[in-house]
Amino acid sequence: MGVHEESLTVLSFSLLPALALLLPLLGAAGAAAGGERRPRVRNWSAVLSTGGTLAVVVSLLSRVLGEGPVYFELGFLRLGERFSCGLEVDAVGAFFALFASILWFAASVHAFRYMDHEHKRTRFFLFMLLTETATLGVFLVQDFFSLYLFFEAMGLLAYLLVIHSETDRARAAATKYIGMTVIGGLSLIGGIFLYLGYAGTTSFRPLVESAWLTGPFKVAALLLLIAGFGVKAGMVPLHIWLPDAHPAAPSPASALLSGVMIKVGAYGILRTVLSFLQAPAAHGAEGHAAAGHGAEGAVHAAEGLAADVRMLGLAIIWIGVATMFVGMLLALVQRDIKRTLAYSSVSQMGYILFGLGCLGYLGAEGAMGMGGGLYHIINHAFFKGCFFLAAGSVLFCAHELDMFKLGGLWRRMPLTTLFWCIAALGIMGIPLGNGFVSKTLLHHAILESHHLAEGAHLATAGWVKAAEIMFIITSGGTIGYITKMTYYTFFRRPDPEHASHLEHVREAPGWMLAGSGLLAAGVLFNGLFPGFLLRRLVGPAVGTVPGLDAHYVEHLAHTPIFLWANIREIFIPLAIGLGIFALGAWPDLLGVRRRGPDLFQFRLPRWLGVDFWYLAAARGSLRLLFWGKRTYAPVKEGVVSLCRRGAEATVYAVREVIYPSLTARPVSWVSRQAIQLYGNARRELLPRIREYQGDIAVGALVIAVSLTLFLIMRLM
Amino acid sequence: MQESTFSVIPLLAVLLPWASLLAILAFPKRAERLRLWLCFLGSLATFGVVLSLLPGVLDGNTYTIKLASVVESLEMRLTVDTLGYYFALVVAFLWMLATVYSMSYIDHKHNRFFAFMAMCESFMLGCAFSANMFTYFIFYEMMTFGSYPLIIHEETTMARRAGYKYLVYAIAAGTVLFFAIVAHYFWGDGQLGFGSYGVLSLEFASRAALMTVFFTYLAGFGVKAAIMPLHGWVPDAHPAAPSPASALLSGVILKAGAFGIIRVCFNVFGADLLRELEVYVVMASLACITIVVASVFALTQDNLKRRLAYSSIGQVSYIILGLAMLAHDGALGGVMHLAHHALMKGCLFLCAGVILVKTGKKNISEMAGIGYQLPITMICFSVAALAMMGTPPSVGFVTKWLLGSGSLQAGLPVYIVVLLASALLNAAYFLPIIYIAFFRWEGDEVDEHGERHHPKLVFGKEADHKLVVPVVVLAALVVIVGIWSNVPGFPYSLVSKVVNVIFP
Repeated sequence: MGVHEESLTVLSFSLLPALALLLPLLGAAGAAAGGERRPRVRNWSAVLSTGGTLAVVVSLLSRVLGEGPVYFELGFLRLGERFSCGLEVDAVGAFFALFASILWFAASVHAFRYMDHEHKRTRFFLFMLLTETATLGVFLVQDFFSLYLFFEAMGLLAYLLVIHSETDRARAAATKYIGMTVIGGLSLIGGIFLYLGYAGTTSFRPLVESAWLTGPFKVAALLLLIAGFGVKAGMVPLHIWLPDAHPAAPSPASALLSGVMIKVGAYGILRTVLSFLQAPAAHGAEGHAAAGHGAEGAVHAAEGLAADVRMLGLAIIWIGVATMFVGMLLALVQRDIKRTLAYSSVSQMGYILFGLGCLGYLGAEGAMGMGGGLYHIINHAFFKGCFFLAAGSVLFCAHELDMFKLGGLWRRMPLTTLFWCIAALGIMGIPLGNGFVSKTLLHHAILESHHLAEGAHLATAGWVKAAEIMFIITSGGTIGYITKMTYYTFFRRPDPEHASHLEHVREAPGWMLAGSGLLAAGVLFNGLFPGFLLRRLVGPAVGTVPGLDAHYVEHLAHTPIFLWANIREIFIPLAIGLGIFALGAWPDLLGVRRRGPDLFQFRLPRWLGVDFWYLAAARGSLRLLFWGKRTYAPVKEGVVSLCRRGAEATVYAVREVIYPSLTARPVSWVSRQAIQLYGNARRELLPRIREYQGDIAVGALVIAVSLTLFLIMRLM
Repeated sequence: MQESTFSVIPLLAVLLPWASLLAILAFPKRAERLRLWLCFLGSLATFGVVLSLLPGVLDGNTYTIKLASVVESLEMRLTVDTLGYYFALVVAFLWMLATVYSMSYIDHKHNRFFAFMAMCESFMLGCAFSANMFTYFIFYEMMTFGSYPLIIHEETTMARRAGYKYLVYAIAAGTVLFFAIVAHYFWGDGQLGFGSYGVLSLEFASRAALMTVFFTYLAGFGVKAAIMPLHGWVPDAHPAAPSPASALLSGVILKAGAFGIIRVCFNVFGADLLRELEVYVVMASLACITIVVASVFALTQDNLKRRLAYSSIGQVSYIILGLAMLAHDGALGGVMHLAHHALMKGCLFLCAGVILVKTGKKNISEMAGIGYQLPITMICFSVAALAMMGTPPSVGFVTKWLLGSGSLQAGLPVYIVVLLASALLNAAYFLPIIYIAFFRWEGDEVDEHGERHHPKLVFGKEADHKLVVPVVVLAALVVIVGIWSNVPGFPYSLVSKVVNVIFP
């Protein structure tokens, strides 16, 4: 295993991270101040602040790539020496911040006009900008403690974006969303606690001297962290909120949810994998030093840990495969454009997880997997953002999102169609689109994993090969549903019954075209100049990760993309995809009446989905709680009434039995004697007291005065 | 205790609330506004006096004054140490806000309510500044009886019944507590004072004797601290009392019990002795059960204040759990939660009061769309409710984080499961309230053009400033204290001093 010399990273102070967080907040203040009365102030403050943030983040990225990580002392939540929330930015974080701020800028440009047909616009802009601060915050920190702060804030603020339209559908989606967010957040913080316990710090760089225990707690820490981030990432089987929430939000917000916010989950998983990857590396270094002294046990331990991380990697690869495959299948059978796009997001997150899994599987040699994942993250942000903004334009102009009720829009909305097609080019992985680059990198990564497994005679080689096959099939399915959606929405002659609605459709306003056009340009740029991005951005970002072998990073940065060997790979998925499309759409293509089963309308029974079972579990446990309370209530009543009866019985016994028996008829010799004694004493003493009453009074006075004096002396 | 300087300021702080009583006695019938403002000034002045001690306390000084002594080792003495000062600051601050709030909220029998409020504040400060268990017990009992008229203020049948229940619980607890103190005096070699590392030890008494002392203390204080199964009075008393009184009950009076347990753990027994006696196991199990079961009960309540009361029962047990961890971060989180919960729950109860005054609604199911009637109140409510769930950056998160970290230090990650379960249940019973208030509004109608009519948020017209300002102040502090907890005077700055000594 390549032992990475951990260089002492010198942090330099910079105001830029704080500025990146502050600008959207200022924009939010401006938007709130503008309000409904001065809508132009509100919209411009959103556009200007996101644009300004983009500029700040670009300069931050160039600074980080040039001079190394920077920090800004925030001083939030400072609890002693150990916990404090501060900003620290490395190349990976700055990379994520870059595409997030590009997308936010595009979305706010698009929203400038799009929100005209929505209500409560001020609230939308306010929370969109607040969410930008929270999201950028996640990328600009270097420890899980601070990350959690921003992550939770983002999750809760985005609730307002999901529920924005306040239709019944949006409310149901938002309720599901918030439930999953809360559960994910709890899983995350549980994972962070365990990470803290076993890494000795919350920093992404675990302490070298800490005890990296293998065993249940480490596994639990990993599972909780990955599940916590996986909820946000739309990882199967935690994805159920995503296909409801993304379409429910207004289109610019959908673009942000799908383009950026699910990447935050991927980012978290990346950080988790890297942190767990570093521990064996650090141990490897120790083992290396110890090997000089002849201690071979340490080397074995390091190898054992590397094997652990490899298993983790394989698990993530297969989670990724499941996610991409399930997402693809469900995307194929949707009618609603935005819902298709949402399932597509689930599927594309699978690709990203796939890359991160390869990173774990390859360990120190995993630069290709991480590079592919990062490249696909920025690509997906661009094309999915573009898709959602274009879908927003379609909704704005045609008031319809059901693709079977649309058609022929390419004549009426030529520019929107162009941008849509560029995005489609990207997602299908056709050369010149950006998806081709990242899918090529991911394919290389899985091939490298397979080589490694074959070379080392690992038992898991078969699983890796199977993952590769699934990867290719899913790519085919992706081409299928994108072709279907593009064809029905833009190119098919509309049904006669819907054609009249579409007659007055005009091209979308300039602001909206600018938003989607910006992202389409990004798609083309990433597709046409992969070398630039790999050498300038992805390569250096991967290179700053400690624990990765520099040779493989160099290899990643200079991977040739436009080779026949790579282009050749596209034909199998293309054949699969077009085959699926033809199978589903042939009646419409040929202009004949539909007969027999329709592939694009195929529905599975609800109980086959995880969604159904989660809901059942939630309802069941609530019902159990209420049942418990109902059952408990009579028990409690019983105990209380028992106590009350006991008390009543006691009072009755004393009043009616015991007291009368002692007073009315003295039954015993003792009570007779006592009464006699009292009578005698009374008879004897009373005359004496009358006789000496003056003396007694004087005596009492003396005692009282002396007692008072005594007390006064004692006090103070 | 270490060397302490003589100072009359603690006595002044305890006596100042009585100045409000003078105002009430001087002109009980005339000039109502003036009288109420004088009451407020009394609590403001008290807060000022308490605050004036802050620089000295942060320097590590302690101030003391002897009031009386029965015999040599049984004296009434007020001492300001860091821990007591911390509690006093919470008490004086929350009392000040509750007094402002009551000026608008209380609509009949002002004199009685404000007189007993003032007296209770005096007794609570006495509790905070007590130098030994004897003094603590006396102020504690007086506070118990002083708070009775606050609970029954409404004089409805429900209030009377709740008050009766409260008295039965409190008197029984007082008896147990009295026994505890006698046993402590007897087996503790006559030392009732508070020591930095505890005063009891196995030199003077047997294991069984010390355990008896501990458990009687736990039972005695546990009634006020609402440890299950001694919590019965809490869910009845809170909805029955007027809202400012509920805020004080939950925010401070429940804490008097918890504070007693803190004193018992830190200053009477000390961490080492507790570890040796292994009583922390019982404490932790009771706390865990209370946290989870109370949250489940809260989930099933429809009456808002009742739900909040059950939530309080669970939250106060966070303090007990933190203490039972016997670890640095656990103790820190537990003791800090005393102030944190006072801020959060104070805010929530005051919000419930605003809702009650402005709309007359008590049940959550009736509150659809209330966020549009009372936007500021419900935004503050949401902030405090999110903080209760442990959302960063808020005081609730600080507590959750420190308790989680503490449970790792204690080597028992099982507490984390309890914390997470509690947070989940908190979310389950707080989030629906926010949802109902803001997103399920009445008049959800569609007109002939298919347009929905959405209500608009209108700020600034919802209620009297005296009601809204305390709510806003508390909600702001929930966030501010969470973010900058180490500002001098905020919980971390004070509590860390105490805990760093006990768990170095």
